[in-house]
Amino acid sequence: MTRTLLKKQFREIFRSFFFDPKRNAMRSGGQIAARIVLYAVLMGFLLVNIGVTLSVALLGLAFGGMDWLYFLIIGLVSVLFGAMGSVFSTASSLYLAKDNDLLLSLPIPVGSIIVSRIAGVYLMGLVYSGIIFLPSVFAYCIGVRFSISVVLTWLLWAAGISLLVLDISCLLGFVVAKLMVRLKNRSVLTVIIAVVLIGLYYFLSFNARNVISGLVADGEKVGERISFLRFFGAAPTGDWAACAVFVLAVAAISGLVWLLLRKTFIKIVTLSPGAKKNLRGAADTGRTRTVSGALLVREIRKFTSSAGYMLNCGMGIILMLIGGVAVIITGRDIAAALGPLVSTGMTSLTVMLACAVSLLASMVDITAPSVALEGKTVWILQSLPVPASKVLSAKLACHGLFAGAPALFCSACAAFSVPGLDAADIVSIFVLPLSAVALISTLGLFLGLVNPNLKWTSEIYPIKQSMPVTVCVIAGMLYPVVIMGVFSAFRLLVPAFPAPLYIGIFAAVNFGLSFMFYRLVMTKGARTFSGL
Amino acid sequence: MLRITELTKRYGDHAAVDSLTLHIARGEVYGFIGHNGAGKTTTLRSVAGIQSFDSGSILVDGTDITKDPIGCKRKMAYIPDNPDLYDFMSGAQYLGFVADIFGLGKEERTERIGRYSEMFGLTKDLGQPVSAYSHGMKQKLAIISAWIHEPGLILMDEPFVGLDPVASHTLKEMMREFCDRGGSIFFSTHVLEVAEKLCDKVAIIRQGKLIRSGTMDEVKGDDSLEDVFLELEAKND
Repeated sequence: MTRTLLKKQFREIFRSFFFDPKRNAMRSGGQIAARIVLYAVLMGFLLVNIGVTLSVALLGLAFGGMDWLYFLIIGLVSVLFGAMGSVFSTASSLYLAKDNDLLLSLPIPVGSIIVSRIAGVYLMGLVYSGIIFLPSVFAYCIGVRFSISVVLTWLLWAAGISLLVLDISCLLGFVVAKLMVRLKNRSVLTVIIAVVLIGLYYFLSFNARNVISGLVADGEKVGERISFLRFFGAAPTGDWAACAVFVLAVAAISGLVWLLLRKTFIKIVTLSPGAKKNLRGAADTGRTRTVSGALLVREIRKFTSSAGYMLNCGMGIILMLIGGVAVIITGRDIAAALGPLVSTGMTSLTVMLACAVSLLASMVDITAPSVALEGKTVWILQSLPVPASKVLSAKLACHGLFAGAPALFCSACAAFSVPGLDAADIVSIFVLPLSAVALISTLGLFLGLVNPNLKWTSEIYPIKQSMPVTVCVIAGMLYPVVIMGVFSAFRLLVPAFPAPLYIGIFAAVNFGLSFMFYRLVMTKGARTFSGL
Repeated sequence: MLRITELTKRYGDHAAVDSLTLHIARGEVYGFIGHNGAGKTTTLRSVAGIQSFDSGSILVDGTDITKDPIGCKRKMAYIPDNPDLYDFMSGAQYLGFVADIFGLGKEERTERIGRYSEMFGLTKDLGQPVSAYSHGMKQKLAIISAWIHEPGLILMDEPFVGLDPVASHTLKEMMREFCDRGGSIFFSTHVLEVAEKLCDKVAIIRQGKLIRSGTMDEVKGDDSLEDVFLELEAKND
């Protein structure tokens, strides 16, 4: 039974690799291979850039005899990275899956349903935490020492890490699900909870560097005081006793989490979320809007009603607001700190600020999953007298609103708080992020219209695991870095090349590409949407 | 009001609808019956403009659905067999959204939504999120959303599934009244007794082909519709 459910779950997770929803048929062998290769390349890129870099950077600890601290830091970062953003996705895939009722109505043990659900969560956590912990054993065996014991204990440790990620994800998902079914006004309170959780997450992330520095400085003392941390770190070094303690501890935690899920699953699943009174009631029908206004409000409601959507595709909004406030407070310090670097002529404060805001603005990718999120309700828009181009325009407008306004705020904070910028610099700091918003919104929507999967059972699949989102996230992170890098190279050739002109060229390219994607969306894309 | 001519829709080699021709006049309740997979839903979805077809034509009040889909959709409403509505809206917000799309003014939307939701006993639940609705409540909401903009043609796919007896009765009365005022209804159903009592005309489809159509008397004569349907099914096996 469990095997059947697991097959169903994995078939759904990997469906986009093998099935073409547009043609309602299996993909060709070449298409499947291309998708797998693309995914492998993306993961390989993250593995090399994050995992390998971290392992190599920390290897000095192992050289210095603090092997346990090397693996401890790798392990903690793996857990943090693996559980990142899983709060709402776990709640969504475990408790809010559309086919929960169907499965519960069949003679299937509840345990099997839970196992099949958390298998998907486990796989995602494994992939993301594996990016961090996988290179550690290679770096250690090549750079420090190799033994069969190290490899075997590392394998057990890695399995333990992946289970810890699952445990944390499930616990947080449980808390969120409990809150969701109790909320009277889900949309507003979910936003608040999401913001608080995001804030908490970033507080922990920003302090992680201090924690790591502290661990490096006082590792021995910390290891003595918190013995579990030492066992955690020493487990993969060939220390079988530490490994046994670590494995037993993880097994105990996993057992407790399993009991909690097992005991509460049916109760949470069968409580209808938000089945409380909405006080406005019929009054909501009285307000009239234009067609465009109604479609925009629909998009806004969709975005703000889903914590998973906000958390995964709107993180940049919070970061831009926080970044704006932070730059007001520390603007002078930033300018002073970057002064020596800027004085080399290899970079410019204008370019760095414009790229930093663009990076945050690019972390908003609301349009990317928005077409797939129509799911089974796509018939509504298709049967109403609304041109598909208007629907798609509303999606772009929603993205522009949520990403553009905070980008303007963040740009204004940066432009007017950092000293030494002239009018052209200030314009550059506004223009590049806005061009990034235009590009990510149109690119995301364009990609979202390419074979969207409308048959998901949990909205987390289009939000987190779809091709458009993956491409937008990676492109959004890389592009500003590329702009900064190219500028440094450019300055080698033309030392006096003005930064505002350079930014202007890239902004023009961004707007040009955005216009191209916009045209494609409004013509081909609109036809595709009508025929979904 | 609705003229379907030689409509054909294929999925690969399989013809889901094969050269179907039907004409639904103003004021007619037109029933569409057939076995599972006969092509009823495909036909209704094609007429609603949410599914392309391979050949033939569909005219809604003289307007070709392929040439002016928006114009056609302004004149009609569609209710699918399983109304998946927006979970992220309340019932009231959903009706407000549909009213906005059709440009209904404040007074007329308030009056119509109030009237129809009272008829279906849904008024007190309009403030609830759609995610908390039962299947029947979603069906009622979809029916209200179809009626509030007073279309000329209403397409319904199995509209009675999930409705309680009172709501079923209300819907039948609404359908009759709607057509008596000049509207047209084209709906599919497996409940042959309902079709027999409610419909002015009926069409029977089998494996995508129209096997009989006409007024109720022309189709069934002195027999019951169920007997005729079973006989036709057996004959074509």
